[in-house]
Amino acid sequence: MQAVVDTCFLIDWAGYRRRELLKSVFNRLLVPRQVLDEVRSERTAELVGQWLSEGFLYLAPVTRRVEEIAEAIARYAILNSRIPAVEEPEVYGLALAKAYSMPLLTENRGAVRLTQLYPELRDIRVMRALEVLALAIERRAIEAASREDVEKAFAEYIADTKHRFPRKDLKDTVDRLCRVLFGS
Amino acid sequence: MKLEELLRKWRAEDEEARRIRRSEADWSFIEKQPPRIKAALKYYVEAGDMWVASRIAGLTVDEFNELRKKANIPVVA
Repeated sequence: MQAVVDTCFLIDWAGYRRRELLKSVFNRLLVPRQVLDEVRSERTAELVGQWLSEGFLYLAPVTRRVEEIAEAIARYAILNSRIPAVEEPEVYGLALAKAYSMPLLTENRGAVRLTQLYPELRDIRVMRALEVLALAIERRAIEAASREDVEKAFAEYIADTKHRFPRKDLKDTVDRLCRVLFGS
Repeated sequence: MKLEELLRKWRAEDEEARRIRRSEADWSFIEKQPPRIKAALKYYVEAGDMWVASRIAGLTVDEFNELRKKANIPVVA
């Protein structure tokens, strides 16, 4: 499976001790140029350079079709004051995801909410770190033999990145994983 | 989900996220920063929007994220 990755996800994920884990979930990540413009720290730059050279990260060309979708998405975001702001990197991330029917890896609430609000964007699968980690656990890329192991996997990410998952989302995800993995 | 229901859900999510950011932030670190950085960190605590916060600070998102960690402000998503 390929996915599109945006700025906040990539930068956050770069600080995770098991950042290479992403390769067990996805074959390749497409990244819009606007995302790379935001990379500056040694840790993220090193990761991006390594992944680009390995071909795991691909600097996606922005075609006319992607531009058209991006313009429509920007229009939605500008005209609707009730959703949080969606900025240029996320707009292009959403447009690439829509154009190539790929999931979008993002932590941007505006991007998530646009896909919940507009029927034309509902087919975009948005994945936060929470969903990516859940998929990695489900595929046994992270070993988990008990509920404690599942909780520990999320706790590691939280500790490394100073990221908090919404309480209810985390509980629902852990409950679901325990049902799938252990039948409890 | 109906629009009003969706908006209620988003409001509740935003309030929870803001409460977490406010309570965990290192306010003494934030208050010691130069004006532009301080304004950006305070904006991030309230709004949770890293791209806009980074523009206020005059930094890239990556640079602002390092500052966010030093200020102990969690990303809530």
